[in-house]
Amino acid sequence: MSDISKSIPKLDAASKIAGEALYVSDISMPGMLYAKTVRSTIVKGKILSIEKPSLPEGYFIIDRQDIPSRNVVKIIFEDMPYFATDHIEHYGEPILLMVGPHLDMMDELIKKIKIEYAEATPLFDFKDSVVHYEYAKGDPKSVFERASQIIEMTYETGYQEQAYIEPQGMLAYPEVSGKMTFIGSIQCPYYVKNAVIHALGCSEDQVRVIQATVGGAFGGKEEFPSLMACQLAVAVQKAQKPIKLIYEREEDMEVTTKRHPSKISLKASVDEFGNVQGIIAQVSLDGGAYVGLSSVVLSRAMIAASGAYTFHHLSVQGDVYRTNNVPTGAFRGFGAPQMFFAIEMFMNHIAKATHQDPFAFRMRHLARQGDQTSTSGKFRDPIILEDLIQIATQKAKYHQKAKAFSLTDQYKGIGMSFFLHGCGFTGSGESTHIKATVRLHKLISDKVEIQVAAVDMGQGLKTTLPKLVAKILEIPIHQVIFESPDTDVVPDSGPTVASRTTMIVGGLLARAAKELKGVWQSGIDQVITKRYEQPSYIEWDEATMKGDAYPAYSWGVNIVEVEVDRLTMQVKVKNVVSAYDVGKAIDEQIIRGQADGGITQGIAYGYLEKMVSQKGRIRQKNMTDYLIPTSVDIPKMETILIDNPYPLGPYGAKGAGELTLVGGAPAVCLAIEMAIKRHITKIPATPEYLMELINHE
Amino acid sequence: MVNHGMPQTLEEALILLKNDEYQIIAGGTDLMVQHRHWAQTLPKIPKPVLFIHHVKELNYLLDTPEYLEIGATTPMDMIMSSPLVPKILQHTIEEIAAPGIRHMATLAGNIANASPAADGLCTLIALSADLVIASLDRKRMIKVEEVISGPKRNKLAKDEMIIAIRIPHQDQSMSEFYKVGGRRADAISKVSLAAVIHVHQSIITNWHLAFGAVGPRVVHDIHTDQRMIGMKIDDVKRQTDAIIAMYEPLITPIDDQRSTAVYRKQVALNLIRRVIINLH
Amino acid sequence: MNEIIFTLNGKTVSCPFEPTRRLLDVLRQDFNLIGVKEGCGEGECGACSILLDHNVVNSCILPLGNVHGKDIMTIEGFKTTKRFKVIEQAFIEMGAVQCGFCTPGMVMSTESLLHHNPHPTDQEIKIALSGNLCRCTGYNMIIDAVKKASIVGDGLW
Repeated sequence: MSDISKSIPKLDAASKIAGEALYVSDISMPGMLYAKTVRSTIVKGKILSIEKPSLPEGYFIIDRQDIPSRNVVKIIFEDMPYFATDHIEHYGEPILLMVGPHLDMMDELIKKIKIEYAEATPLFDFKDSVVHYEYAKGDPKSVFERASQIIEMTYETGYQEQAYIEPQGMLAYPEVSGKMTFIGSIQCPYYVKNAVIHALGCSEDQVRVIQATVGGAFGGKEEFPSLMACQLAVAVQKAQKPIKLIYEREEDMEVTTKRHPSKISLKASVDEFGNVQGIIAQVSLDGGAYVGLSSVVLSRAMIAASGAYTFHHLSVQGDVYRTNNVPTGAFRGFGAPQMFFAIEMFMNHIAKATHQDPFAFRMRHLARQGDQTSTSGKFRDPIILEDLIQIATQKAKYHQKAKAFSLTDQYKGIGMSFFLHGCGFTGSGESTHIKATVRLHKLISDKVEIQVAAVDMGQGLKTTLPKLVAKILEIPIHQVIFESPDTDVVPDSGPTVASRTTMIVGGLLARAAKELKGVWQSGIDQVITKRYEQPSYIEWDEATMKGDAYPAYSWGVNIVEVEVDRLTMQVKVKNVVSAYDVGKAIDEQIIRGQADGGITQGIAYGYLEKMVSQKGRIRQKNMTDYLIPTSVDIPKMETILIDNPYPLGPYGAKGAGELTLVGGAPAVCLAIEMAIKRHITKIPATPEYLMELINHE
Repeated sequence: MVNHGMPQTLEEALILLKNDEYQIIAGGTDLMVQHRHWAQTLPKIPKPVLFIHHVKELNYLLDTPEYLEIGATTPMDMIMSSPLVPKILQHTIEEIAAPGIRHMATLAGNIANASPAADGLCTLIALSADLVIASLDRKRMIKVEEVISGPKRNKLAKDEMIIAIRIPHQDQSMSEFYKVGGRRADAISKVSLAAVIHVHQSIITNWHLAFGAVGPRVVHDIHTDQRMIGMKIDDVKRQTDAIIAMYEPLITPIDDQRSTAVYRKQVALNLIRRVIINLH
Repeated sequence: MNEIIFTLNGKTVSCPFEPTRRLLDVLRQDFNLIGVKEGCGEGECGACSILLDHNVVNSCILPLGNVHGKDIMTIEGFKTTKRFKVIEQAFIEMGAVQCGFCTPGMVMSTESLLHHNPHPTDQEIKIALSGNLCRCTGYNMIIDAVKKASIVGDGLW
């Protein structure tokens, strides 16, 4: 039997190449209306009055007065209305939808809408904490009292925009049965479904959600589409016609969720041997005007406080601050990229402050199998980080180059990051909130249908899940069917987030396939259902954040080489080498694709992608001003995968999607540090910032 | 109903311009973005449009003993790949946007749009290029830099259009275009510098510096440039700081969503240093 | 003039005289050519790339007026060619497709490149694709695919 990792052609590639795959904007229906969102033009204040024009037949205005049930988007923290209340909390807050058959007329009508506001003073500073978490490990207080040296640094990270090439979009229509159906560019069909049920106060069988082909998501289509769906639900109820809502690029960039800007203060107590005894961390996230799922982002950031190292004493506090900036949300990495930037830079800065070789210093602190995790759980499985480091440093000629670049003034640098990513939901999320269910349906034709709510948004599930199932069943892959999920057909296998799908959903499918194989009867309709069960040894206490935060961890090393132009401070990325332990690659080429794309986003987060909010308004609001890498910005990249099978993952697979992003920013920034011989404490490390560093030290 | 014009000849175009007020569009790559509205709606261009893309007689490159003439509708891509074109201009166009844009965009449009960050404009000014401007009644020549009245504003009369760009032949052995964009391709300049320079027997005989994106217009000061003529390379190198100081008051950038005034200023001045380092 | 006439995927077509209309809208709405995507609407992302007289252009900022008398090819027309088959196979083999939203545009830019330069260097490929943004792949596999197509399809261009 051939190795599962051996790549096969992606099953959905041909239809995408030929332009035949249907994205939501490609779908039209008879009698379909368009929707456009009218948004607040102030940042904070009160709506005094809304003057609406009289509408020609077939045109509708939908606002909060039309809402039959609850005006709140069901995310984790239920505070975001889908139509603004009297109180405006951020620029671009949706006030109403204009719906109609002709866009030009809608434009005319929107111009006639007059909204009067009383403006209030917005808040942008970290003052209003709405979520506060803390946890501790060991006895941090006493190690700080005994410290031979205490090092303290503060790190800041900026916004990052998902910049999926396909903007947000959703189409909703009424069915004859009275049911309402949604087709969208979404990561989480059941999030959308549950949000609509909550908003309309209707029963479960009245809402159906179907995933269209998704043109990139990266977290940006995790929770945000629920807001669009709630608005459309109310609109379809009123208009009783299909309605399509597609965002313009500027609208998408100005108002949809982005990565949380953060401020992370770290304090280390170092003993007389130059070893870190304990860390005190304070994490602050800008949640924007509504909290949404920021608390979960915060907990992932906080849990990552010890990086890929073991510190015996930790005290970690974190807050999500409410501001009048646009709401922030899910983005690949989910809090981890912020913390890994901070902790990796900090480890280097500690080494420098204590006159130690940074590499040797970091190696001494690496986490090892059997160690306690940051949250006092246990690293049960083998950790092969040292193997990853060895092979990556060899391939990248890290040591030779680091030595040469450190001693000379050639504005060249090489940086290396070590990182891990917890696979699946944090804490007991999988068992208490998600409770994934998957189904395999063997048809009379002996074709096997995968019924899960997992979404292929480019990461390759359309290929990897059928590949897994086909391999276990020992049938040709074309005998396995995996359609884009439709909630009327598939059970809730959970959202497509948190690097959980291959490991958890794939794991359940593997179990189902094994069972099906045992009972397989040709020509008979058979259904196998599997539900998630938490491994019994996993214990997690939500209140104290103690225990096993994740069932498994993936690991990685990134090495990035740069050259900095000494007159313009422009950074050129010259070389990238990565090594990963994702357990076992279900398809090697797909994992390499994830690796290339993830580190490209991670590196760009570190040095290129700049987005700022000025008085509540995003300044880089189009693809001309918010720069993501082009083909010319990215060098040839090398990825090494080392197998380290996880017993509970399918064929040993663990998570991979997010892992590949989290180490990019620290690796590129450490390289830049070496090149310019200055400490970097902020990302993105733009030429403007580097110039400041050069001028001021 | 708006009366857009789609002339096939220059004469037709000039007649239309004489009789009505138009927004001229050549490639459309700037104006279609500036006036864009929602998807599936028309761009909101305030005037009827005169599409000159089809005026074939303006799509040409012509070399004469005194100058190179580029017709107004010649696409950038064609200019970039023509051996008649000075290297600095080829290099400049290579740095403008991406192939899809360069196949439609024109240099004349780049000039008429008068963006202070327009790379093409910057280099043409450093090359002392002239514009041939025509109306039905007359034809006139004007220096490229004189046609710009401010950011996004030009001095063309309502009935006039740019029909050609003339680049005088000149000695320019050490010319180079330096672009500082936010990324390595397909980016609008944060700062740019076009340096048209000739050195004969170690003496500067031609020297023009034009800076983009560091003021309301492309910065080019002929008086300052002229002070360089006749200097020996060695002296130039020795007096680098003084030369930079000479240009310093001309550089007056602003903060915007792409960069900061402080950075722009320092980089503009550093680029002068680079020009001087590269002299030989 | 009351019509704009051009060749679309090999056939002569005519449209009402609305010369400021974006060609992208004409292609998607009037001709249902949905392989032409809108990613940014400002000529920055390249998802709407098509060929005009065999040169890649951004249809989202191309006024219909400029198309009169020209030869337009979209992915729908190109996919019937031998060259497409070679590019398609190379994209599949090298893993160049993830979410797919940029892919038809990438293919059109590839065709425009290879048509003019059948044996491009890596750097030439990168420049040719520099107006096509991809957020998924980090470009390496796309560049490899273009390279592969140029080798496998030797003689077709």
